[in-house]
Amino acid sequence: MFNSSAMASASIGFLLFSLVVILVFRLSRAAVWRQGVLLIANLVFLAFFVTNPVAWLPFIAFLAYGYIALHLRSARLWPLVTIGVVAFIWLKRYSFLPSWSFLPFPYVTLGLSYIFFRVLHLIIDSRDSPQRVSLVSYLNYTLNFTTLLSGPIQRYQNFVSPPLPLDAFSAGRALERIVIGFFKVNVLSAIFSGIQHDSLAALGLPLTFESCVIHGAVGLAAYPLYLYCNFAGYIDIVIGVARFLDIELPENFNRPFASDNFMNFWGRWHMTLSDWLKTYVYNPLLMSLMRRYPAPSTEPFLAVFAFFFTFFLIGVWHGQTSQFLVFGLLQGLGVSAVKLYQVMMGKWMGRKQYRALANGTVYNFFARGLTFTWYAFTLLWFWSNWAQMGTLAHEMGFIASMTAIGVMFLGSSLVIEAWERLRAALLSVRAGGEPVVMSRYLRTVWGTTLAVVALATLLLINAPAPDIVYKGF
Amino acid sequence: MTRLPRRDLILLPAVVLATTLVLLGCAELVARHYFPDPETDTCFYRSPKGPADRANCMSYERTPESPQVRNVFDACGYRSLQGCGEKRPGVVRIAVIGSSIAEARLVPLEDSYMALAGSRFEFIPVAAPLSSPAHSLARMDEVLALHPDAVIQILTPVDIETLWMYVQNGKLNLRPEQSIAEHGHDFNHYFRAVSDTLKDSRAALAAEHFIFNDADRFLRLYMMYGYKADYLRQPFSAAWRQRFSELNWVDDQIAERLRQAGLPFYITAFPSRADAMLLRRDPAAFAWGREVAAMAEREHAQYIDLLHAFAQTSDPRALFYTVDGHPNAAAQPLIANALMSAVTGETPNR
Repeated sequence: MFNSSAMASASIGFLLFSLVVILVFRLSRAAVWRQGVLLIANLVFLAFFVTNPVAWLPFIAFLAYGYIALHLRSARLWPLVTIGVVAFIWLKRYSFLPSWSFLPFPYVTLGLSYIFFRVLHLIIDSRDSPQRVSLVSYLNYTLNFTTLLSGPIQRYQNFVSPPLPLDAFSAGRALERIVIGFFKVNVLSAIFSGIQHDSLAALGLPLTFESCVIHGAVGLAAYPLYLYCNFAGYIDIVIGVARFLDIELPENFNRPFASDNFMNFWGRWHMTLSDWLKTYVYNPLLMSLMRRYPAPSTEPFLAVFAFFFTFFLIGVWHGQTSQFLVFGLLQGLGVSAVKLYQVMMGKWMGRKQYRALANGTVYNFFARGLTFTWYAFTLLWFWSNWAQMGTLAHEMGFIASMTAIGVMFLGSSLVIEAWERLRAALLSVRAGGEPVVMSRYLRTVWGTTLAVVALATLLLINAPAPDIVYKGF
Repeated sequence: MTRLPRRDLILLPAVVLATTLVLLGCAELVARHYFPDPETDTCFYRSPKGPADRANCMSYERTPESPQVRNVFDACGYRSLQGCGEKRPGVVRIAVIGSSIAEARLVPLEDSYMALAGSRFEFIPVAAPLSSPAHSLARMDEVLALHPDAVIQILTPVDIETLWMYVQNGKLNLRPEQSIAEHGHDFNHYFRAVSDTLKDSRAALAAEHFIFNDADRFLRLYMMYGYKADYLRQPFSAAWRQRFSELNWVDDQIAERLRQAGLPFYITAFPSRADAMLLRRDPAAFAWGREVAAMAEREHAQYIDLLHAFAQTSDPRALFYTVDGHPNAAAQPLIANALMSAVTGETPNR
C-alpha cells in the first residue's frame, strides 16, 4: 500500500501518512520535538520513492551545495547562483545539453525543480539576512514533504515564522481545504481528463466539419481545466495538511480563469512561481536594464522585454525539451504583448480612459475568454509532443483548427461570465453580515458532499472491475 | 467569534451524518429509477450434475443494464427455440455446451445467435449460468440424447478460471468446497471486501456503468484483478497453467465421448469484455485463445476463432453489458456468423 504511487498527494496513502505525522507532531509543543518529527517525516517520505542510496547522491550533492553556498556570505553571489543554475539544468537533463555530459546512472530528481527555487532564494536572501540557518531547519525547509513534489514555493522567513495556533476554526478550514482538494484531483480533474481524452480520440475518426470543430474546441479547453483541478487540488490538500503542522503555506491560485489579461493570469496562476521569478529575475533584470538605458521613454519597453524574458523562463522551467522552449516563448509573448498593449493603449487613449474601457462589462467578457483561449492554446506545447501536434493538425485541418479556437474563445467567454455571475449572486445572499454560503453549517454540508463523492469515486475507480456478474444467482 | 459554540460539537457531526445519509439515499433512489431492479431467473436451480434450468419453465430475467428478457425452457430444460424433441427432417442440430453465454442469457431469444441461424439450424444450449466444463462433461449423456449433428463448446475465461473448484487432483468434484475468493489474496481482495458492500448498491452500479465506458479506465481496473486477469498476461501464471491443464483433462473426456459417438466437436474461446477491448492493443490478449486452439487440435476438434472476429469489430465495448459483462444483442450476429461459418460454411440470412 505504501509505495511511491500511494504517496501521490491526492491519495489515501498520503493522507494516512500525513495523519500519522500530524498526530506524532502534536504530541509535544517543544520545538526540538517538532523539528525532529518533521525531519524524520521528510526523510521517510523521500524513502518511499527510491531506496537505492546511490540514486540519491546527486540530490544530496545539490542540497549540500545549497547549504554551503548559503554560509559563504563573503563569496560573490553570482558565481554561486550560476553554479546552482548550471547544476539544476544538468541534473534535469535539459535537451540542449549533450547527452554524453549526463551522469551514466539513474538518479533522483524528485522535487528538484522546487528545491532549486528554495535553495536559490536562501542563497540570495542570506546576503541581507543576518539569520543563521541550521542544518535541520535547512533540510526541513527544502525537503518539506507537503511542498516537495509540486510546491507552493514558500519563503524561508514564512517557514520559520512563529507557528499559528491551531484552533477549531482553523482546523475546520484546513480539513475543508483537504476535502476540496481531494475532490478536485480525484473527481473533477479525472472528469476533465476523460473529456479531453475522448475528444482527441474522436478527432481520429471520420467526422463532419461541425463535429471536428466541437471536439477540437472541447479537447483544447478541457486541458487547462484538468490542469487547474489537478494542480490547485493538490495545493489545497498540502495547504490543509501543512496547517495541521502549524505551517501556513502561501496560496498558489486565485481564481485564475477570472483574469482579464494574460499578465493578470500569471498573477493568479501558480502565484508563488511568478512571485519568485518577479523578485529574483524580473525586478533585478528591469533595474539593470533601466540603469543601462535610463531614458524614461524606454522604460515601458524595457518592462516588456523583462516580462518576456521572465515568463520565457517560467515556460522553460516546466520541461526540458524543445516543446517547453516554445511553451516558454508563448508565455513570454503573451505577457509582453499584454504589457505592450497596455502601454500603447495608455498612450493612445489616455490612462484614465483606458482604465474605464478595461473595467467595462463587455470588454471583460471577451478579455477573460481571450485570456483562457490563449492559455489553452499555449498548453498544446505542454501536454503534447511534436508528433501529436502534427497528427492533430492533420486530422483537423487549418480551417477547422481556427474555427475550433474561435468556438473555444466564445464558449469560454460565456462560461466564465456565467460562472462569475453565479458566484457573485451566491455571495450576495447574506445573513448576519456574511454570505450565507460561507456559513460553517453550509460549508459542512458542502464539504461532506464533496468528501462522499470523492471517496466513492476513489473506491469505484480503484476497485477491480468484474468480468461476468452473476448477481441474479 | 473565536470559540466554536458548544452546540456545534453536536450539530456539525450531525450535519455530516445527515448529509451523508441523504446523499447516499438520494443517489440510490435516482439510480434505481434509471437502473431498475434486477429480476432473477426463477427457473434456475442446482441439480446433482451442476447448474441447470427447470424443464417446461418460463421466467423473466433482467439486470439493471439489460431489458427484461423472457426465458422459456423446453421439456428438457434448455433455452432453445425448437425444443429438445425429435429432430425435424432436414434440420442441422447443434448442441452447444458452456455457461450463460451459450444460452444467450440476457438477450431476447428472437435476437439470439440461435434465432439468427435460421430455421434450417437448431442450436440447442445444454448449458446454464455458472456452468463450468466439468458440468458440461457431467451432462454429456443429455448432449448425446439430443442426437446432434455436431457439438460446439463455448469457453470463457471465467469458465476456465472457476474450473479448479470442480477438478482437483485429476478427479471431478461437482460440489464446490471452496469459494473463488479463497484461491488468491492480495491487497485488492481487502479493497474488494469494502467495495463489494458498496457495489450492492444500485448507485454504485450506475457509477460503474459510466466509469467502465472509458476503455482505458476499465482495462486498468480489470487488470488489477491479479490472478483473475492473469489469462491476459504473458507468460501464463502457474495457476493459469494449472487451469489449462485441468481444462485439457476435462475436454479430453468430452472429446472422447463425442469421438465414440462419431460427432464432430468444435471449441471456441469467447472473450471477456476486457479481452475483447484488448485484442487490438495487446497480442497477449490472444494467448489464451491459442491455448484453447492447441487443445482443440490435440483432441481432433475444430477451433472457432471468435477472438479474431471480435478484434475486427470497431467498438467491442458496444457488444457487452458494461458492468454485467455478458454479451448483448449486438454481439449475437457476430457469434452466429462465426459458429455458422465454422460448422456449415454458411452465414445467416439476417
